[in-house]
Amino acid sequence: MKEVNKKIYSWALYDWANSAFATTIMAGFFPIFFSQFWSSSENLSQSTFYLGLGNSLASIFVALLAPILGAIADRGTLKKRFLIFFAFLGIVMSISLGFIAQGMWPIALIVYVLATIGFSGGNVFYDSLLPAVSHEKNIDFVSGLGFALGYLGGGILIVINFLMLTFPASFGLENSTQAIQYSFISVGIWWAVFSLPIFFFVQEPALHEETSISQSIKDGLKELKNTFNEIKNLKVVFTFLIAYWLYIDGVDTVVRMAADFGIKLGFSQTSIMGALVLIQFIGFFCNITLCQIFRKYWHQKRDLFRNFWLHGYYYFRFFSDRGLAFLCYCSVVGMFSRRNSNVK
Amino acid sequence: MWGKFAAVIGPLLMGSVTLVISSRVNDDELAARMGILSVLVLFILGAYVFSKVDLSEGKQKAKLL
Repeated sequence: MKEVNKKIYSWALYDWANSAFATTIMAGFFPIFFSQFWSSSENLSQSTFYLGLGNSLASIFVALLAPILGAIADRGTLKKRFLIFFAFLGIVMSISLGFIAQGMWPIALIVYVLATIGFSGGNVFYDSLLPAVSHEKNIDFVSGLGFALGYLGGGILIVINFLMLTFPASFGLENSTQAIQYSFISVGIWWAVFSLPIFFFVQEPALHEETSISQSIKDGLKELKNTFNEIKNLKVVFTFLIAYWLYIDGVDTVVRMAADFGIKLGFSQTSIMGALVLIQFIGFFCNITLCQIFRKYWHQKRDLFRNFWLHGYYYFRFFSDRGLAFLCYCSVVGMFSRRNSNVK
Repeated sequence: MWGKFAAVIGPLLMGSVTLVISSRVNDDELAARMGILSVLVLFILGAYVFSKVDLSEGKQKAKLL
């Protein structure tokens, strides 16, 4: 039993490890630093464009890669090796961000795109290892554990980074610029350290038959084609997936671009990072309280309700630029934000 | 927590709108506002497509699967 628990917690800790990238770098410091340190301050809109380009490119790359990666993840016996490869890419690139000189926005953008590919690619294999540490009865619990630890892990590091930014001297840092550079490095170290358990204690699940990489890619693509044909027949599923994609694309755009928007409206670095900290913790507590209540009593209406708030948040964000209001609607977003579950 | 899904269209859409507007009006703040407003298109489109989903049909088909 103990052995089982060790595996489960080792697996879930990877979420704790890599969520730091999503919160500190993707949502927070990368857009802030890209606009204020790596880009020239004369052309603000151009830096928004390049930030958007980088994010879209990373997503397209992952989307093209996903079917092949998924195929390998489903069939091959290389899940762990691929997880280590992508995690390593993300870790090295995150740390590298701390060393890129002022004004070097093209290099910063390339490194960020590579880090994002490491983050997303790693998640494919992290998810694919879930069945290796759980069984039908506890799969929801294990997945939920990863999800909760992800929130907490990302949350704890972003609080530390926020304090580094606000009180650099207390950490022996010269100024806020240095605090941000060390924050990039801290994400890489955090990611590396908390990935060690999954690397050491979770075993590659045994397969009935050994298949080569090329064979598993071939099989996987065939399966993808079959799935696609099936979905075409199920028009209702296809339509739903298109709607979901449009919606989630918008949500994730806000996550990745909101800090840049905040900078363009003249918010300080600390108020943007403070808002992210607030969202993170409100999100965590509402997920374990409010969403459970909603799940029980609202069920279908909950999504409608969430959409309503997200839209409200949009209008608010557009028309207001007061710090307090900013924090208020961040709270609202935090209350209704919910990460994808690992169970598909 | 965040960013585990993918933003394919949105960031480029927002960035392009921001860039185009700023070249016309020479006001970065206004351009940024228009940029983030453009993302609303995705939500409106998503809501429209979702309204076309027949939930009862989906439930029946889900049972068959």
